[in-house]
Amino acid sequence: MPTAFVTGGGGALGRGIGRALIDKGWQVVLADLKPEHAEEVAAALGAGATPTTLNVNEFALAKAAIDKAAKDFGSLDALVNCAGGTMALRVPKGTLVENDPEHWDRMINVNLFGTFNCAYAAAPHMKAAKRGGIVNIASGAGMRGGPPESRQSGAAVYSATKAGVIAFTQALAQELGPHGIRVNAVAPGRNESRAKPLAKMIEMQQSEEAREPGSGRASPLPRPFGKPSDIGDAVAFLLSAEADYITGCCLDLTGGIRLH
Amino acid sequence: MNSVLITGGAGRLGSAIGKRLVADGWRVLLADKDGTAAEAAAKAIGATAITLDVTDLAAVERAAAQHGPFAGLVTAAGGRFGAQAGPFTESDPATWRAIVELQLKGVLNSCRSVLPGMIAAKRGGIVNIAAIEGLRGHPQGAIFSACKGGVIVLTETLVRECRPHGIRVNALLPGNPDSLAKSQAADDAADVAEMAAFLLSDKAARTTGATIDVTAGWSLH
Ligand SMILES: NC(=O)c1ccc[n+]([C@@H]2O[C@H](COP(=O)([O-])OP(=O)(O)OC[C@H]3O[C@@H](n4cnc5c(N)ncnc54)[C@H](O)[C@@H]3O)[C@@H](O)[C@H]2O)c1
Repeated sequence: MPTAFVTGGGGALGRGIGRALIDKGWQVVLADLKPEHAEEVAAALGAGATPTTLNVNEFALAKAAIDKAAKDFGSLDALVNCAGGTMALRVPKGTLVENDPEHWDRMINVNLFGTFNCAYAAAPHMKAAKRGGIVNIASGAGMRGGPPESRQSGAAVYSATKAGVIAFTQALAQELGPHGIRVNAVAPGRNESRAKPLAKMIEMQQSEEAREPGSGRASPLPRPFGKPSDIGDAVAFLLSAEADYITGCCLDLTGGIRLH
Repeated sequence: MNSVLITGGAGRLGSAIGKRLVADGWRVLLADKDGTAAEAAAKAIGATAITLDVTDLAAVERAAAQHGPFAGLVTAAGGRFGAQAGPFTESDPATWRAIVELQLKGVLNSCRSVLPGMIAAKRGGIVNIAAIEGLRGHPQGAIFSACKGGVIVLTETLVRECRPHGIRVNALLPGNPDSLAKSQAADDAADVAEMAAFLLSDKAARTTGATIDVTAGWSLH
C-alpha cells in the first residue's frame, strides 16, 4: 500500500484529501499542529488513516516525522503540503498597511517554510525509490492576487506566499523530474468546511456583496462553492498513475471564481 | 518636486533607474545597505543617498518618515541574491531564511512603509522589480523563485487595496545579467529604467497591476 504524508491533515481540506486517497487505496498519515484535529479526522476516516502531531515550521520536527512515517510504513510515496489557512493562523482581515507585520511571519512560516521543510525532508525517500509525488496546496489568491480585503485575512501576504508556493512547485518539478518525482500544486477557491457549511458560505457572500459590490465572488457553476472532496479528488488524481505525465502544474480548483 | 525612494539604489538597476528619474525631474533618494556605494551613485547622477537595510522594517519606516512622503517607490534591493543558489534538495535549510527576508519581506517592508504617505496624498506609483523566475520557477533558485512569485502577486493585491487611493502598482521582469555580455548589461539596465520611468509617469495613468517583461525575449527560452 503506498503511503501519503498529509500536513494540515486535521483540517477541512486535509480531511477531504485523506478521504479521497484512502478510497484509492493509499495509507495516509495525517500530520497536524493540533493533535486533537488529527485524531478526530483519523477516527472519522477509519482504516488507513494514522494521526500524528507536527509543527511544519520546524525543520527538525518535519524531518523526524517524515522519516518516521517512511520507516513505519516501509515507504514514503507522496507528500501533500496542506498545513496553513489564515483562519488556523489567526490572521485578521485587513490590507498590507492595516495588518500587523507580526502576522506576516505566521503566513510565511507555514505556507512557505512549512512547504520547503517537508519537501526537503521527503525528497531523499522519493529519490531513493526513484519515484514519488508531491502536491502543494496553493490558492486561487496565489494565482491572481488576493481578493478584496473584505473577504480575505491578511490578503496581501497570504496571496504572496501562495504565489510563492506555485513558483516553488515549478522549480522543484524541474529539479526532481529526473528522479521520477512529480511535483504539482492545486489552487482551491472558496470551500465549504466544518466551520463554514454551505448556508454560512452563502450568507457570508451576500453580506460581502452588500458591503462592497463585486467582492462577494462565487463560481459561475450552479454550485457556488467548492467542497473538501473537490480538492481531495484533484490531489488523488495528481498522485495517481493517470497523472503520470503531469508535473509543475497548478490546477485551478476555484470553480471559475478567478474568471471574474 | 516629487520624491522617489529607490531601494537597492546603488545596484545595477537601482542606479540606472535613479539616473533616468532624475532626468524626468524626480527628486531621487537612493537607499542601499552599502551607504558608500549609494553615495557614489547619487553623486554621479544628482541624487541623494541613505544607508538602509530593507530587511529591517523599523529602519525602513524611519527612513520613510524622515525623507518622505514619496510619490514613487522602486523596490530594486536584492539583485539576484538566491537566483543561483543551486538545487533545492542539496541546499542547506539554514540558507533559506536570508533569501526570503531580502527578496520577499524586503518588498513587504518597503511597500508597507511608503504606502501610508501615498494614501494620505491620494496618489503614488510603485514599481516592484520582480524576475521571470516568479512566473516560471527556476530549479537553480527555488526559494528565489518563490519570493519573486510572491512579489508579482503582491503587486496585484496592492492594486486592489490601493486603487481607491489613486495609487498604481506594477512589476517589472528585468533580464538576467548573468546571461548578458557586460556592454549589453548596461543597455539592459537603461531599458528597464526607461520602463520604470514610464510606469511612474502620468503617461501610464491607466497601467496598474501589470507585470512587464523587459528581458528582450530571454524569458522565452
Ligand atoms: N478552505 C479554503 O477555502 C481554502 C482556499 C484556498 C486555499 N486553502 C488552503 O488549503 C489549506 C488547508 O486549509 P483548510 O481550509 O483545510 O483549513 P483548516 O483550518 O480547516 O485546516 C488547516 C489545518 O492546518 C493545521 N496547521 C496550522 N499550522 C500548522 C503547522 N505549523 N503545522 C502543522 N499543521 C498546521 C491546523 O491545525 C488545521 O488543522 C491551507 O494551506 C489553506 O491556505 C484553503
